[in-house]
Amino acid sequence: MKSKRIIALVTAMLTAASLASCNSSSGTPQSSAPNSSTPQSSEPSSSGGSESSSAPGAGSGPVSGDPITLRVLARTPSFYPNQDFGQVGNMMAYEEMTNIHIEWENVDPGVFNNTLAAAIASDTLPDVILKGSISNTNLSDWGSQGILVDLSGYIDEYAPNFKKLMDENDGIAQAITSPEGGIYGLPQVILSPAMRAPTKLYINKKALAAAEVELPKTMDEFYDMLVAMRDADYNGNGQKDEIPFIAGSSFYTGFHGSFGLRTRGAHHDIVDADPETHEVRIFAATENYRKFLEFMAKMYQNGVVYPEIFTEGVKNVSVLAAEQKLGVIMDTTLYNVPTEYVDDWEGLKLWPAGPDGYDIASNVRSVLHSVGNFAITADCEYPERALQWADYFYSEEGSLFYHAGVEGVNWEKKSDGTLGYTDETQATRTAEMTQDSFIAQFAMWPGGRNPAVMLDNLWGGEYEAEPAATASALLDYASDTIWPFFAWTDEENEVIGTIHDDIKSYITSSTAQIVAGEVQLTDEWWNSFVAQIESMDADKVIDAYTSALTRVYGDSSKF
Amino acid sequence: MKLSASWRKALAKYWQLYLLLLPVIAYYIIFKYVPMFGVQIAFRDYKLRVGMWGSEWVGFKHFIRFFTSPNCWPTISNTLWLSFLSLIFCFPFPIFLALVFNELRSPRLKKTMQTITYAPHFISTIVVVAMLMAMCSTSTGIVNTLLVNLGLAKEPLYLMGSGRYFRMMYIISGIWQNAGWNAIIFISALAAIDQEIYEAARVDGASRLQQLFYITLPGIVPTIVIMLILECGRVLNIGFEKVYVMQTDLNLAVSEVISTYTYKIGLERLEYDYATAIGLFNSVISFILLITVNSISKKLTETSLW
Repeated sequence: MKSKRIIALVTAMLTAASLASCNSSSGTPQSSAPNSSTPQSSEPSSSGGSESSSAPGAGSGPVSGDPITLRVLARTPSFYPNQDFGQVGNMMAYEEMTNIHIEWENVDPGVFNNTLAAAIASDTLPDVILKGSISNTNLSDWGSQGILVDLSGYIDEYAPNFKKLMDENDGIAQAITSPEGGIYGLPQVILSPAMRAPTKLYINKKALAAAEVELPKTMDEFYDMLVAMRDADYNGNGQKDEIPFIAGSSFYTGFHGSFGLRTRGAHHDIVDADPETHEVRIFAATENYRKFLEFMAKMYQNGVVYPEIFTEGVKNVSVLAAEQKLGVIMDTTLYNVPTEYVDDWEGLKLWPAGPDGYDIASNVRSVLHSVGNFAITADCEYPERALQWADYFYSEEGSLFYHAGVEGVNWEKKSDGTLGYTDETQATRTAEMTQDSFIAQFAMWPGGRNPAVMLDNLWGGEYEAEPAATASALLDYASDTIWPFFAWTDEENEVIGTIHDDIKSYITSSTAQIVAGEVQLTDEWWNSFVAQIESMDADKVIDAYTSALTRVYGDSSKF
Repeated sequence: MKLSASWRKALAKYWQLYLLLLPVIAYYIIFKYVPMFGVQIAFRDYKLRVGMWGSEWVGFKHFIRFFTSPNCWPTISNTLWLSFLSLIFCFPFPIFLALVFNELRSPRLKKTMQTITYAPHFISTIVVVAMLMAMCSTSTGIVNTLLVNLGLAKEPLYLMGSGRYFRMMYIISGIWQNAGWNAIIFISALAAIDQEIYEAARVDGASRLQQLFYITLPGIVPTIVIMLILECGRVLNIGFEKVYVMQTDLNLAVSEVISTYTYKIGLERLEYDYATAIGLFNSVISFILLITVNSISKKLTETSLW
């Protein structure tokens, strides 16, 4: 029978496929073809070519030497995955300044990790990994395998700018030095307060006036304000369509600080130290977390929070802001608000105090934004020159060059003394461009994860007046101790990589369920929640943190 | 190696056909069988630099780590729940569709209906989920507008966010997307039923319904059983993409399945060895299920894969 044959054939194929699919997630990592490119820039001019290639830099200004070529594997920004860094204005200029020709291999962020893993496994390493934001875990793992070059021996001589930053600022050296003493990657250093407090509350002045309340100082006042905004028809359309509060999908994490939770800053998600006793703890298992859950559930269930926040987050802010529906936005900048409405918004220059008086701005960064943004591999023939190439970006002048492009071409000092883009550069901005895609034409800033320092001399984004003023004000509400990124040992890594992440995902999903009211917060639930965290080997996580903290701070009273 | 005479004869006679078969065989060897050697990563402490062969053997370390991890059982049970519910609800639909098409007398209508029902199969999963998000929005979605206006719901339901509706949305969208496509194999099985049997039945005075129950259904039972066995083999291999894009913090408690968990470990954290171990466990269970269901079916219905 014909049908039987068809079936037999289909079956045979399906069986083979299902058997063979045993291994679809393993085997040799599949390399996805990166968009590699060779920029068509002119041959490097041999100006200053007499300088030896090993000459250390004088402190500022990139170092030039014999013409060399470096292969750079770079992660492109997620909003612009096809970006070709070889066509970015300042990188083209930098080739001539340094006499280093770059062969760019631009990799989509979605496949970056696997492209990198494939390059390592197949022994086709690039010379430099740029914007990779390689975790400390992978840095020390790959460093100990001899894949990455230990920079600690080179920094003194070839990275004077970075060395100076490291000497002058606490928290850089510890965060990037592996327990064995190696430094395998360069971080993004943020010395500007504008960059350090990404979670801010922006309040709509019109909504505030319509609600007839003062700016809140406590969480209770904050909540009352949201309720008043919900009931006052500030856009005057006669409908109760106001959405008092909108934020990213995990909005509740922003309010940890009001309840004395997450007291040690932005880099650590579930572990902190008790603000009074300095005891290391999983803060979700404390009584304060229960108060926090109750408050967040009250906010969400009483209709003052955007109801679709779990699926939409801040995606619809631009539309809702234009419809004059929003009261408070919790976000980094007012970037999503259409320009004509930006002046309606004011950053809250304090952190609302919770029921027990805690007013900690919890999402505050150390002096580092991210680590592993620049790494040199063992295959690189010129590690000194490669390091010098990056070191320039850690100087004041180089930071401007990296973030804003070439002086006189892309930016200039305006008559009022401020810095800004030149008219010619401004003219290249089209209506469809966002701020990021505009800058991406001539500078490397967009996409973040930069091997550079960020000082106060930049503009745009977090540096706009309102976000910057709010961020500096919030730093007064930050804890005195912000834990840096930790360089874990192998044993600690094993705990952090598994147990920590499992506990985190358990806390995340349980918290979301309580906040949304899918599960009621009863004594029984609370007890089982705490018991579950403990049964997930929370003490091992605390032990790993304690030993890492001891390496950094020495004494447990300083945790 | 010496080929037997009949083989050689067949090869000489049908060499074009064998040539056509070659790419398929090569595909399976290169892309399905050769990578199976990679399974050993699950038993090694995989280091990228030294590669698969140079990495140290660690035995069942990664498996023990998985089974002792607190996420293990919730993940497995989520996978099983989602799979079995999908199997129960999604499996009968294509058969039903095929039977309906079979009863349609106008060939044009039949073709049109078939095309309409299998068209969604070609839409990318990502687009399907984006469409769901838009249609099920609590403020602007058409689904909630309908539900509220028809009085089926008092207030808009958070269909795409809430964990309560996750499985339902997953299954309904799965039926919408795949029922038409999966019906094709049943339609071809129906077409193969001898028309003379129907004529004989009509002569004996069988009604349409009787024809359906005594001729049509028995005629496609072997196909149904084979498809069911195959589905059982896939129970743990729940589609990764759709679950992953439908995940939110709120539904994570029911939407974290083995494949999404493996993805997070393997491709986001680069722990290939651990991810492979979980993947291998998954495949072994699937394989055992397949064999068990197959032998049960062999005993009961005399239909089986081999």
